[in-house]
Amino acid sequence: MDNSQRKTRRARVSITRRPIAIAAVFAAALLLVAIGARSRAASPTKAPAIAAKKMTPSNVPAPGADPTPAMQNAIVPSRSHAMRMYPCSDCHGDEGQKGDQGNGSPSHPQIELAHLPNSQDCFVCHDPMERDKLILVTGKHVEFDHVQDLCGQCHMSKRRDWARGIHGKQVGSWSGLKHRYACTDCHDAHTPAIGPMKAMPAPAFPKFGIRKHPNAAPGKTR
Amino acid sequence: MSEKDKYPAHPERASKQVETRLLTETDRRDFLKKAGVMSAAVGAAAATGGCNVNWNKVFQKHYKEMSASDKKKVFARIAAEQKKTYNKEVTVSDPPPIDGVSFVFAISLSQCNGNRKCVHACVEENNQSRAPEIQYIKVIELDRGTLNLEKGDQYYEGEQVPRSDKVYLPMQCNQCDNAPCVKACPVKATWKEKDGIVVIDYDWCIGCRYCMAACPYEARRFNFRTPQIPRHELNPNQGYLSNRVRPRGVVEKCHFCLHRTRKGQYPACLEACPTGARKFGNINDPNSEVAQILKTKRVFVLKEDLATIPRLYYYFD
Repeated sequence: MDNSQRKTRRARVSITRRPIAIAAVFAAALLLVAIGARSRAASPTKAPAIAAKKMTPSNVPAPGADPTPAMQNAIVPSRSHAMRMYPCSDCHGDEGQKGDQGNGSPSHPQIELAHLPNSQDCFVCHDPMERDKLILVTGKHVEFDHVQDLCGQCHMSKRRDWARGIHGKQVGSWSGLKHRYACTDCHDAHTPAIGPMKAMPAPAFPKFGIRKHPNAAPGKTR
Repeated sequence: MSEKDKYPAHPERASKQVETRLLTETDRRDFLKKAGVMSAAVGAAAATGGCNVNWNKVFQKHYKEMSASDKKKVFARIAAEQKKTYNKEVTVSDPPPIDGVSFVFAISLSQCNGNRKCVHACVEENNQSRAPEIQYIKVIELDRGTLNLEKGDQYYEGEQVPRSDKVYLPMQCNQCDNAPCVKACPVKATWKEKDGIVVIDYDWCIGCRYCMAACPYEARRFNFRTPQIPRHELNPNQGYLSNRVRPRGVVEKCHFCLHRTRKGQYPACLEACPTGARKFGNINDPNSEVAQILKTKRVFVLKEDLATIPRLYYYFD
């Protein structure tokens, strides 16, 4: 083999191997990025984040709806999945027809409307045209999953506090993802005042304690 | 030795006898012989179970002085003890405080309705004694418009809470920054950690209860008897400084569920509260719930005039 032949052969080899070399460089770069991300995630100064229970990532509020930083790592579970009779359009196909309304309506006997005392009108909140949605006073449609926007029309301060994580219950991680309860998880949508509940048992009264609350509970002096 | 020598009639004579004995030099060989016999006897007694003492436990170091291998041994011993008592596998750990994190609790008295779910969730999470009842959280029923804790009632029974003329105030350890209990402890068995939690080394506590007398919030509880916990209710996720089963004769108190919170979770009382009155988080993070509350609400602490600097804030909204 003379010199010129050797040269052409080497050139051919390098051309055939070029894609492999490029691929190798890409793979190495990817690996480096992955390692970097991993070490950043595992850095000891950052507070650990744990996964919240029953997360449904599809139900994160619409982007831009809540610019509050507290909203960014909170997941609000879907309300429409929790509703017994959803979707409403299964029965209410007749768009635009209002039908019977208010307390004692034969189709929803379990609903007691104890909110907005002077109004028995369902369509202050429910959309008469699109039955699977709620309606704001502006006429804008709202999904059942974004019920906070509907309630927040009047209860602005509570809505603001809820977005900050101050109002309402949330579970999960204080440093990471939270499962935040929506308005209607705790408040009944039609009777929003939270009623009294039963208290868990009291601690045992000390054997030689002196009762000092004579009017506390019936039949007992303390 | 005669009867007379054994029981000397005159004290002077007796003291003389003692002196002469002390003055007689003990033979070194004799001494070693006696010492050998004595140590053999002690060893035999220990081996046959004559005295049932766990010497590793007796000579266990203070938590802060333990090395990693010491800790491993101690945690294994605690797990083995519980395996023996409860026939249940438990894991004992000690999650360290997270850098740059300072825990604070905020409780909304407008929302708390006194249902005591937090109290019982805490009992279950923290392996508190059921038979002599120990509860970290006290919910105090006060007349609406007053905050006089002396007039409060923690033994209220409620089929229907909240009662209209009452307000409910849950009290637990305030994790004071200037903690009187830490100052009172004569053996340094309780101290403040970097993230603000006041912890107790239950194996170092001598049960003197000085800290209980020093605490102005009555937050500390004493194990007068060995804790009784049903086997199926024993929480196997245990922390050395938090919810492991306590021995008899030591003091315990709320520790902000540090075995949960230092891993990023919320405390058990917060997750159990159905009203959302409890808020917990890192006060150093301006976006955390507690930082927002302290910024926007009118918060107060209990017994502010004592300058204990509590970490439990209350507010109405």
